[in-house]
Amino acid sequence: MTDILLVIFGVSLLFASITNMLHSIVRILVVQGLILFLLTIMKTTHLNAWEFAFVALETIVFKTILIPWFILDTIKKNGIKREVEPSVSNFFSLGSMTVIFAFAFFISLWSGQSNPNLYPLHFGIAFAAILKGLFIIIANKKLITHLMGYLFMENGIFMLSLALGSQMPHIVSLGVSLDILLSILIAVLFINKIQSNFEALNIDELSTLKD
Amino acid sequence: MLYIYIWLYPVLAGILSWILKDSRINKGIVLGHGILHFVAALALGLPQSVLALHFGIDALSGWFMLISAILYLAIGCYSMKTKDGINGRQSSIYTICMMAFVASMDGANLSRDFGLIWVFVETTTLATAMLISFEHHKQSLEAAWKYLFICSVGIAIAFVGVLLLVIAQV
Repeated sequence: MTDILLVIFGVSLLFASITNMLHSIVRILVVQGLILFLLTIMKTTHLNAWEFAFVALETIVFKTILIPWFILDTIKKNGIKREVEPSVSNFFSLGSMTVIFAFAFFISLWSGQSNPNLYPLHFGIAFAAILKGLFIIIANKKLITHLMGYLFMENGIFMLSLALGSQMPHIVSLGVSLDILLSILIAVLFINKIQSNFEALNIDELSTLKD
Repeated sequence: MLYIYIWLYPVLAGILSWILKDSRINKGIVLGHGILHFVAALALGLPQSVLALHFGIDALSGWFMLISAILYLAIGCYSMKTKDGINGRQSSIYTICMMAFVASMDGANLSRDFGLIWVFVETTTLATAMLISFEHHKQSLEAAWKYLFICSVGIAIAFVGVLLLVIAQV
């Protein structure tokens, strides 16, 4: 069952490469949040009520509900156009994602040779998600898509932390999630302020500061 | 108990600052925090037992605490002569963010766990982004956005490094 969820997660990354709508990417983030919740429940061997509450708070409340709601609200309030408007074509994006997957699985299989605790599928997809997040940030000009790329990266990092099983204390995971939520809140605040000071929410507008 | 006071003062003083929104009181709060922080850094430098499981001081963190304490004391003195044009609300935001930044740095210095160090360094990023955009003009907003993003991505990759260290340890 975890393999199926991991594959769905990987397919969602491929779908993010070809979609042109911001709302689709937000839906992908919602689905990824749900997958992370299910994966956490399945991978943790023993879970008491407090730990279950932490996990539910991090994944369901933050990643699935709050953060996508903030992003959709920001898109609506600032009148951001619904298209992604990438700098590269969908074909190039999909091809790059394929190369990212190949590289990530190569790294995970190579690392897995010396470490039997490493599960290649899990590690590979998590690493690919991190690289996909970076690719979204690089390949798009809209600030809101930069934020979404950052969230993809954070989902990949969360998935990577699941590979550790119960090694990471839950209080640290909660601290991580709270920090991510705060950074999203502050980024949304900045987007609102940038909207009122600049003509468009585009990285080309933010070019006054130079070396 | 000293560890609690390092974070208790910024929280309580921050709430007071937000309620009162007075520039003169805020300057006093920042200077008071600078002096308290300096005294705490000197006190923590003295040999003592570890009080908490997750926080403690060693030789290296003691040095960093002292350096940051001296700098923050200077900032506290400088903050007494900030611009007259800012209103009470902006002054409170400056006070709260400055104390949050220093408290987070202290947390990063005193943490014994890599994950906790990461959490506190992320918090410094957030507090500093608010300080950079303090003046709310175009260049400061642009600088704050770029700072926030570059640091957030860097911090995220640092977390991957922490995770890989934990995997290597297992």
